[in-house]
Amino acid sequence: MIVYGTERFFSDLSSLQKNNSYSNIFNDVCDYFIDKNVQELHFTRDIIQNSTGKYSLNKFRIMNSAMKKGKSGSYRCIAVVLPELDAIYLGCIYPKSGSDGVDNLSKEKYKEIATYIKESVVNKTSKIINISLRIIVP
Amino acid sequence: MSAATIDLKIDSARKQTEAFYKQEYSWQEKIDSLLDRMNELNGLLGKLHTLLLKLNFELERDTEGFKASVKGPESVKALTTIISKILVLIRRSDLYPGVKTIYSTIKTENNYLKELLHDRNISIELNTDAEMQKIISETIAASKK
Repeated sequence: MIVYGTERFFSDLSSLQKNNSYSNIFNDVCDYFIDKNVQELHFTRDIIQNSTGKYSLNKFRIMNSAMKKGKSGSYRCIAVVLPELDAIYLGCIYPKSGSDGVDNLSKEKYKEIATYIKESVVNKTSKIINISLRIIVP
Repeated sequence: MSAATIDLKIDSARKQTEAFYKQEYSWQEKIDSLLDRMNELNGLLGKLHTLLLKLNFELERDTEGFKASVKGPESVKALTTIISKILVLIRRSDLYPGVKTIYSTIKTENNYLKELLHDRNISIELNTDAEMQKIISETIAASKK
């Protein structure tokens, strides 16, 4: 499985990393995806899935190891899964609780993130994250 | 799992929560000893927490069943309201310092249940949203290039 991160995702990541409560966010993301495959992710917490099974917009709950609050109060990562490409595009990440906690997303916000991911697919601006090595491939 | 099964599970959780809410007064009014009241409340909250965890797990696992469910959303709304009432009662109680941790866990799970309901409704709206369908088609087309 290829894990892509959009520019927005990396921007969210770097701004959250500055806060001590979220300092381990990159490792938490890698830990979450390391043992999962595209088919599994395709059906996990899908917000929308097209009828042909070629696309899904999902919301993943990623545990924050620095806060030890369990999954319910942890990060939410909005991503698009493309099973035919064996790929996942991480669109954005935000904490559900804590000082930078974000409330539930509106329909318009989901569309905005989906549009952003689409543009990053069109313009090929995403970077690959090597989950095993925990590095961003330049 | 079918929508009917989801409906039944949610309704059962709602009824159990209502029963907890009624029982809630036992630790406030009937038991005199502080320690007994604390134990009673801890036991009740432990059960409530387990019930919430199980329900959240079921709804998270079967998003399609939850989307198709007719009575489910209303029952979830009622359930989260009862839990909020329970949390208010506990927050005002003299026993709050002793049950702070489980109080916070239940609050988080209750918020997650609200989030699941919110996302279910958004998901239904997005499924019929022409703009969203266009975004999906364009993403699939771009991914093939």
